[in-house]
Amino acid sequence: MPEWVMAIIKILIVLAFIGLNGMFLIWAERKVAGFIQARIGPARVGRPQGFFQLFADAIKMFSKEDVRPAAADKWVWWFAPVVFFTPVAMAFLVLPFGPNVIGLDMNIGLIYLAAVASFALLGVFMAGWGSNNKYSLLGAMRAGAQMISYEIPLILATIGVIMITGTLSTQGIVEYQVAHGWNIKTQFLAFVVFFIAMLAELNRTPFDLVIAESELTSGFFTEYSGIRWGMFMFAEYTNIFVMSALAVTLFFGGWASPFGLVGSVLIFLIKTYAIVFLIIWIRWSVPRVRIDQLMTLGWKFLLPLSLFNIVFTGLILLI
Amino acid sequence: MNWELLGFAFLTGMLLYSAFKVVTTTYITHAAIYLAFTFVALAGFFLMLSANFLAAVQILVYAGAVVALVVFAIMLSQRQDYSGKPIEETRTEKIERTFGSQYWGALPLVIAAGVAAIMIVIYRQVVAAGYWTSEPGPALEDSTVAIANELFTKYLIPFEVVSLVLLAAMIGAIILTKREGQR
Repeated sequence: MPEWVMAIIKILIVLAFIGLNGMFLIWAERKVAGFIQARIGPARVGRPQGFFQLFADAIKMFSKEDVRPAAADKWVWWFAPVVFFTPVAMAFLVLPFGPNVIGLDMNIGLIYLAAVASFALLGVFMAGWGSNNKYSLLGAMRAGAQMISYEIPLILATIGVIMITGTLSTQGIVEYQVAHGWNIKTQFLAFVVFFIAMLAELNRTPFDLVIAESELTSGFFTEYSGIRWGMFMFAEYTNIFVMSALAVTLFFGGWASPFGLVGSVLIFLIKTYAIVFLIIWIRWSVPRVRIDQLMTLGWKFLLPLSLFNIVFTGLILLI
Repeated sequence: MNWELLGFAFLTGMLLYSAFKVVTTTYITHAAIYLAFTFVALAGFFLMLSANFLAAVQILVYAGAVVALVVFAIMLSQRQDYSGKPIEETRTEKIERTFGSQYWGALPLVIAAGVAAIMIVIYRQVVAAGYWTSEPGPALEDSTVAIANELFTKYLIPFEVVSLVLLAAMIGAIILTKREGQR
């Protein structure tokens, strides 16, 4: 088979995975929320546990009218979901699902991930500004402040892992952990910083000031409907998966397993969805922080902690 | 078909168009967005030269951080026009405004084209004289390691001095924005 056919097949697999994962996570979130709040959650559409609700939601989303606000900045508004969604899909290129199950094993894997992740802010800003709505603009401004502040500790936290493993390739990091055990043993502090910063990057509670349904009516994507809103939603939930997969790759041994290829992929997915579950759990258990608390936590605690972790790791490596 | 040429043409078109729009668009927010696309196109050039690391850093630092700072500056400076309705103008008015103005329309375009022509002549002379090779050197196996080795051995002192300059700029900015007697 020629190379470009393989490439197209891979792209289709990733897109299908993004779609299924997004639908599944929206359903899972509603079920977990129901469980935590001592109610049932969606239970009407299909068995078991209203599982076919996710298909019903998807069909509804695809068939809804795509309303453009009259006062919107047309092209910026139109292009924003694309700019927001593309980097998320691009991140799948370097996620190691198994020993050979990876899009492309780049020697700059982690920098590539950081680069594509940093581009999402532009999509948020375009959506917020293009909608010409004060809630959207406020959401975008908060997103700007929050994503800049928490991207720094997020990237600095990974440096400890990079120093130990001596590689930027995601596959290389997993291979190191296959030989030496999980990185969480030596990089626990880095994981704590990474996890908190990750919640903020994903705009999840307790750091969901950007979306804040109760005050901003879901922030920068207030004015979107139908499939455009769906693209934001899919991007958000795919981002949760990507970040969780990155956490598993960096700290929890990635696909390392004794059960062969299929076992490795399964182990990787189980670990990733365990972290996704943790994120959902936190969302329904913790209240939202204030914006000054958010900034204080980011700049005065996480940043020094991540810097301390780098210095400490360096000292240990030197001795 | 030559895919490399096609990619180069696409990136060049994207770069020139978005760079042109950065300076001619009436909305400063549009300028920021076009600036981001300019940086992305430039990262594409780095990628074509198999400088993976530079391409990623270009996106991370410029398209990510610098554009975010520009956006922040726009949002924090209290201008009224960023949330207002765009001015309605017809297509002909727009073309006239873009190319007709003698200050930032046709004249800068002609000057830029002239400079580009002169540069092409100079580059051709330089290449013909044998100072530069027009063929790219062999792509490095691991450019990240190569850059790190050079940066932290041969160019360590300039590297640290640059970071010191950035620190001084940061402190300067804080002092300048703080008014007298304010905490």
